[in-house]
Amino acid sequence: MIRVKTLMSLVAGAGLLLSGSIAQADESIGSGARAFKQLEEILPSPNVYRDASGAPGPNYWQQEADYKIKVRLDEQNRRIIGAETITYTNNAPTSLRYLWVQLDQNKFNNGSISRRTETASKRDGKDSLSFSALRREQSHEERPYGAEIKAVKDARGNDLKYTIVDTMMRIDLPAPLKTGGQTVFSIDWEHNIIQEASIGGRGGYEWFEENDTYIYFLAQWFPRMAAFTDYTGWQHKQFLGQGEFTLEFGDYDVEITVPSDHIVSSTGVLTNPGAVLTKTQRDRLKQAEKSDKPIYIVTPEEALENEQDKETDLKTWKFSAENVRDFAWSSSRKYIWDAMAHHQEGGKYDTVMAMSFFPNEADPVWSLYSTQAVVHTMDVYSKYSFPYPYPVAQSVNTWAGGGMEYPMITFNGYRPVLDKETGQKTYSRRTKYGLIGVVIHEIGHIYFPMVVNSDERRWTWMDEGLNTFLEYLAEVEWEENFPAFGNKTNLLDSITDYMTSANQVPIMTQSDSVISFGPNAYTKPASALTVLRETVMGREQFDYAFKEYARRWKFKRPTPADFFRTMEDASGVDLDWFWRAWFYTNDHVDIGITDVRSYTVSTQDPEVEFPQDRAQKAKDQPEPLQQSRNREAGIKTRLQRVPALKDMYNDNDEFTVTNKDRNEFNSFLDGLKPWQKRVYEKAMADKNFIYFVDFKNIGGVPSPLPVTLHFEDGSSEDMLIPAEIWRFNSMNVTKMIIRDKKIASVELDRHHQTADADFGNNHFPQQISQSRIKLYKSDRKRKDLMADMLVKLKDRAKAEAKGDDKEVPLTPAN
Amino acid sequence: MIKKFALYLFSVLILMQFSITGAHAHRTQMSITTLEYLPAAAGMTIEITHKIHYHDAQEALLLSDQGATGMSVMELEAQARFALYTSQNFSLWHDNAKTDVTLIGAEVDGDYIYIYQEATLETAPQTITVDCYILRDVFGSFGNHVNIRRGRNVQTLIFQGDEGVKSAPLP
Repeated sequence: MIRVKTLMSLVAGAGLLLSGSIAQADESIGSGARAFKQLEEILPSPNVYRDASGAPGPNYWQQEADYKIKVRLDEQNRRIIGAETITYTNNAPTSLRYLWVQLDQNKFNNGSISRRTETASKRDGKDSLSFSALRREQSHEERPYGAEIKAVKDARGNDLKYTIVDTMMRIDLPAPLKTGGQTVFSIDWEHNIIQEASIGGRGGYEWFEENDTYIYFLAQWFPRMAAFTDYTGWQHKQFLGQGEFTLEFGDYDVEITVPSDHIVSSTGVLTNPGAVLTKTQRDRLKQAEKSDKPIYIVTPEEALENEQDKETDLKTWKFSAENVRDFAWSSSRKYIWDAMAHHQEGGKYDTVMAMSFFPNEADPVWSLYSTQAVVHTMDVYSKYSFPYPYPVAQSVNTWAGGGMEYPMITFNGYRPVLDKETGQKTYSRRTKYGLIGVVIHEIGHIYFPMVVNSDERRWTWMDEGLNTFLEYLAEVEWEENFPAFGNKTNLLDSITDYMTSANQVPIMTQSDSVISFGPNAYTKPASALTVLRETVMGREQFDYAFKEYARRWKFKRPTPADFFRTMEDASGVDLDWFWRAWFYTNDHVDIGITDVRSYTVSTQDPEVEFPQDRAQKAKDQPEPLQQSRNREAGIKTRLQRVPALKDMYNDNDEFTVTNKDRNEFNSFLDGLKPWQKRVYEKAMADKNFIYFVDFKNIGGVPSPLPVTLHFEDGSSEDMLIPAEIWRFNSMNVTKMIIRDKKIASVELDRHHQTADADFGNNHFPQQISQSRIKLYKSDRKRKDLMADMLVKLKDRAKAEAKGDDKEVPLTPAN
Repeated sequence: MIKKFALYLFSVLILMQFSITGAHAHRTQMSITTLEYLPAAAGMTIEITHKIHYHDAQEALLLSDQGATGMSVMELEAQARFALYTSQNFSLWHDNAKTDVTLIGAEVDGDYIYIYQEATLETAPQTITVDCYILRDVFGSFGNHVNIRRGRNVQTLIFQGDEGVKSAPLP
């Protein structure tokens, strides 16, 4: 219950407010100014390439790289043999004397920075080696990895000088490439394909031991032009594994030669279906173009039959892709292939083919959900950004877990399991939703960053954060309570463990230096955008600004400043304070309600006020036990025993009304100016309750205050106080709330919409909260069931462990 | 002189037969462990909560070759197995003395499986040492994030790759 007092007068009330502010200012002076300071010196200066509104400037430029590639998969040796011709167009306002090419496969070379900086392990203070680490080492010993450059030549066939620096290669041009100029050169290369499960990477091959079959998925596989940009020149941060990539847009013609019984899925459109597909398959594809549900192009039965033989004849699949920033493909004789049409308006393609490729091991869950999830992603993402800009969108099952994206093609995990007892394939609820989630996420990446071409190697959050945010929107639109964060788990609740931890780095950290990659680059920025949309800006303003950002930077290169500026520019909402707190600091959201004081406006009439004051004092200062127990014990006071001691003070207390008090009240009324009298009389008629609610910013991030007032009559009222309330003092604020009925309690952020880390201080009066462990322990039945199961398992483990060495010592080398 | 060290291959009770070393653009795999140091009538109580994404726990169970294959994390036995596995891959020392940790139980809530442990200390220690290897033996890219809380103060230890024990002053 909130205690009610009367303000001594309207004037006195104002004085209370002022004195409160002055008392708090000592420790927090200037804190609001610091929190709401504009990002002027933090953001790069606007220029002719990127303007102050966050849009591309009048002289915006970017390079172009077009590729013609012929590649052969040597299945026998798990090896790639490739030749490419690159046409590079220099649109920069400067001449280039050399070009940089990325060789990401060199990350797997034993001499790479990545390999040489791997660290060893200790457990329990002893050196240790896990099976996975040992297998990785063995794989690296078995054969060499990395790009083997066979030739680098100009258009006339002359050798070009090149220098390899870890995962980069510099090609020295015979003459500077001037602005607007083009150069054509070729690279022949080969490399061994890694086994992804052993070495780890974004591409490789997967081996199915049971039937000795393979899936190949080639990502970051060919020498690719490094990005050359207005903000950093050549992008030559070496590939260390964590920071992904950014490249130049261009057109690709790629010929992929594989065993003739393989099915190939690739970036781009298949240009020679007559040469590689059967008539039946071509007919099915045509049927799928008009279908609103997936149609098999290769059925599960056909795929099963296909993988029994191992053809050595070759076929060449030809693909063409326009305006893409990379090219990836996958090939296997195991693939089932299904497809359906996605129809859209306003884009370059009215019909987009959504397709999935997967082995029988991935069914039935893939047949049910993969291609449908591809279509759903385009439905939702296009609504918040732009129509899907390519003719195909593909989901390929290339590994058991995880996911990875490339233009028009994504590599996704999740498979059912074989029940050992029944021999039947089953999939869990989580496998189902995990698959839908990963397909949405990776297909979503075709928008961000494959089209909105942010620089993943510098700012992971720009694609992962934005995409995770959109992924959640799409998941909620797939079905209510989608278990991405549904049931009891709110995205904003899931980030608080991370945001309250130490050893964080801000979101604005270069990709390879990010600590706790997932929460830092995925969940925290996604949470930030969710808070922006649902609480700070509102959906209408957020959606308009976000769509404008996507429109402005489609097929261009945005930087963080372009995003920050566009979101402000298009919405009319100053968000510098938000970017500063969420993206440039490690602060978190934790606002507490520290006090609520309740008043009514004093009549100043002593006949009314003094009795109330007397009653209030009695409430505030209950009779001491010493006194009441004396009375109960029959102890007589001296005054009772000696009545002569009694005088006027014994008959009147400090609240007895005197003529002096009455005169003062009359003087007060006479002294009021006409407008003050009207205010006084209205206040007397309204009989409102006035509340002073104190908020403390414990976490450091200024936050809007979604407040719920619970009234004594059982009703409640939600109100949203904008974050600007913290602009003078970002540590403590007091909000005055006037209502015509009594408030019983005040609650903050009841819908969990601000990422508040501690709800223990979000109620006034405070509510008792229990830790998860205490709540768990209080459920005796559940706890006992678990305890019984633990005992059972421990006993079983003891029995199994008898005579079985759990640690295998290796003999040290002499 | 080259000092000789004994090198051990560790085997864990449940999950050790396969390993994934993927690099994914999707959700990064990590566990979050919270150690809450609370004053008790005599000394301190430590409430330990491990929070692991359901997908990761489920995936690990799928890879298990110890009878858990095909189990759903929703099953009591699977949760118990996971709790045992977690308790075997999480150790604590205070001022260099090993601390006995009691396994309380496990539950699934929303997208996460929670594993609960408890420990008691007679006196407040100066330093805490943690060995947290949860699922890093299964997924090469898995990380363990350990928050050590005392009141409003937090210390964090992050374990990645093959990293071993780490220490921090008690906040």
